Amino acid sequence: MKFCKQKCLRKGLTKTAGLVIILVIVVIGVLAGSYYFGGMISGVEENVSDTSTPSKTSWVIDDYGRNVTLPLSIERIVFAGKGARTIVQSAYAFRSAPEKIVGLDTSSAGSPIVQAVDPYIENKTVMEPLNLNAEEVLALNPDVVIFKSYMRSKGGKQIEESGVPVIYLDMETPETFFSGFMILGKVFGEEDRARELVDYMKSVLDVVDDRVSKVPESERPRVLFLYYSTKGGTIAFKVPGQHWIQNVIVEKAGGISVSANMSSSGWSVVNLEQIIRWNPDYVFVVTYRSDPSPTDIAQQILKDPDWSTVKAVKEGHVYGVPGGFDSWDMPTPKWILCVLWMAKHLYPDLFRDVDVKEKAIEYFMTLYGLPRETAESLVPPEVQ
Amino acid sequence: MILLTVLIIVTASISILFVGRLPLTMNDWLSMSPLARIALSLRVPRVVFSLIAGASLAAAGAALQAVFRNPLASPSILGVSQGAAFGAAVGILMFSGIAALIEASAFVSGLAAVMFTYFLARMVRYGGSILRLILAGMASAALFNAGVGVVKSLADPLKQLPEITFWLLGSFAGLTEYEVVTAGSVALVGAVAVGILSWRLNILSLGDEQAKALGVNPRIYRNAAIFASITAVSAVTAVAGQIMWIGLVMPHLGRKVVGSDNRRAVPAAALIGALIMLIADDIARGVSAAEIPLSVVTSLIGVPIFVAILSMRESRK
Repeated sequence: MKFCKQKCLRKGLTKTAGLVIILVIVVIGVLAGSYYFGGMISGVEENVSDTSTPSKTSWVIDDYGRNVTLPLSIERIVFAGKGARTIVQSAYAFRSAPEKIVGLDTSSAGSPIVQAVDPYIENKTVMEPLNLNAEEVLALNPDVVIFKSYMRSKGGKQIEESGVPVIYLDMETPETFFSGFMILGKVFGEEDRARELVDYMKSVLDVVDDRVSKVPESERPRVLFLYYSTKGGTIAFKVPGQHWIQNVIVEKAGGISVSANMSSSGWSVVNLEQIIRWNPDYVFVVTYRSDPSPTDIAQQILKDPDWSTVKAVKEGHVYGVPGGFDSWDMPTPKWILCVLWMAKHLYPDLFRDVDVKEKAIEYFMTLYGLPRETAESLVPPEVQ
Repeated sequence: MILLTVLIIVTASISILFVGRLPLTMNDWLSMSPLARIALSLRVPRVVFSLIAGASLAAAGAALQAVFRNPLASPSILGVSQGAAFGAAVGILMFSGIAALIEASAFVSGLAAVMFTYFLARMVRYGGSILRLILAGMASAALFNAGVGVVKSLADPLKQLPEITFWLLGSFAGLTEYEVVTAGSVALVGAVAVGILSWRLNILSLGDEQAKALGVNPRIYRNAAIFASITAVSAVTAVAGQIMWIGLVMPHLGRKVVGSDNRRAVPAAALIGALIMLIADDIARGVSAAEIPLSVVTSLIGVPIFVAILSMRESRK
């Protein structure tokens, strides 16, 4: 018995030792492999910067902190992948965009602004954004490919490896939005225009800031930015997390976002009890669709008995964010208009002299060089 | 014993109505202020559905474990949940917003998944019947999970993806009274049918030969029990998303308390399931400003119970 115990124990030990050795070998293998391939990848990157065009080169630092060397002349620019729509709307603020953009995603190509600004849109290669096809992108022989930042792991790397300069833009916060604009300016060779546009957009924000900054913290209204989602068959109330642009908009418009301290970084679901507990002074609704539109939902909330104790409902301060599907709160240049629009709702007295519709028309004319009638048609009817 | 459990559940349900994100004073309740009335109208449907969902998931789990003679059988191990999730995800993508269609899609797909598992298990030529079933279930669940993955990659990252993701983890947050009544009654019918069949489940769990010898056609009762179970599970999953662990763990807990006779184990599992679900949803809706996905809570509750039961097993026998 004792003998067996020892033997078994020894057998067990040998087995364990064998397992440990195998494990160690595997770990070492994985480490070595990742080191080797990691080295290879960074080697490729170094090569790209080494073989850059002779003489004077220009470069940009994108939102991954990558130093991207740009070709001397950029004539063919491609926007691709999911989420390109938001950055494309910024790109068309540049004069040479219609000539230089040779390929873009279906969602961008169909957006009203691109349709209004680009006379050659019918002749452009339009790609499905959902499943990025690297060959399709490379077949366009692009000088630069621009992606939304989260596309890096979803096919962007493949294109990087082909040697074509790839730029990733975030443009989801005020900082990356304006820096993204400057990067686009460099890519389009219109740095002066980029500066001019950024100054203009900042001036719109300043109009709001000048008036709102005097309001003491204690008198600022508490705002609920609500994404009323009906997808998936059930109704869900969602609120933006900490650093999201929707909270930035509320803050810049002079409100205090009740969801500013939510720990989650994306949309989090809250229940009505939580909303009643927050008891916001104002509610701004988005649905990201036209049916039901944000305005419809705002009306519905005003009539809903379950909402009746909420201060915003009692005082009639529930509003739909303009734009429906192409909502103004999204990180397209329109978020700046959203700040102005919201500020006027929060402080009607301070903004009595500001005509949001007129300002929006001027904005679209300035950004996209559009005639007045076209610019007017881009302003959603719910903006007055 | 059962009376006592029912009593505990009733008391728990009533007291849980007073808990939630809305801080209400005694005065609010006594005078039935508008705030208290709103709180009730928000909490009652969720409490009712928690009870139904918990009971029917647990009863279904108990029935499936008996039918398949496998203590590991549960809605998710057989692929029902994954199938329903896939159906719902496809539904979200194709008929966004039309609740009835999404729910129907989830329901049919849940049914299809368990049929597929069953079919696969017959093809497996490896191991005993229990192992075959587990392997087939893994394959079918993995296949439907992959399907969900495909749908997710096709979904709009800004709008549809969060819906699918949240849906996969289950929630009672968006339940309307209409859904509570429709899905709730379907689930209840399934659970009651399982309860009625529970005396036959004892015979089924002896194996086909024995059942035939006792004059019971195993195939009919097996199919009836499976259909009743997955009806209940699919109905719950269709409106509330995937809820993990209740269907697996509660039957074990039920058997631990009342023994393995299904006539008693099924109702016991259902009652315990109802109670645990009640508590789980209260945590999901009440603890933080953001709703916590239900499966996160049920897993946190279910896993320790499961481990505890497993470690107790020897001492019982």
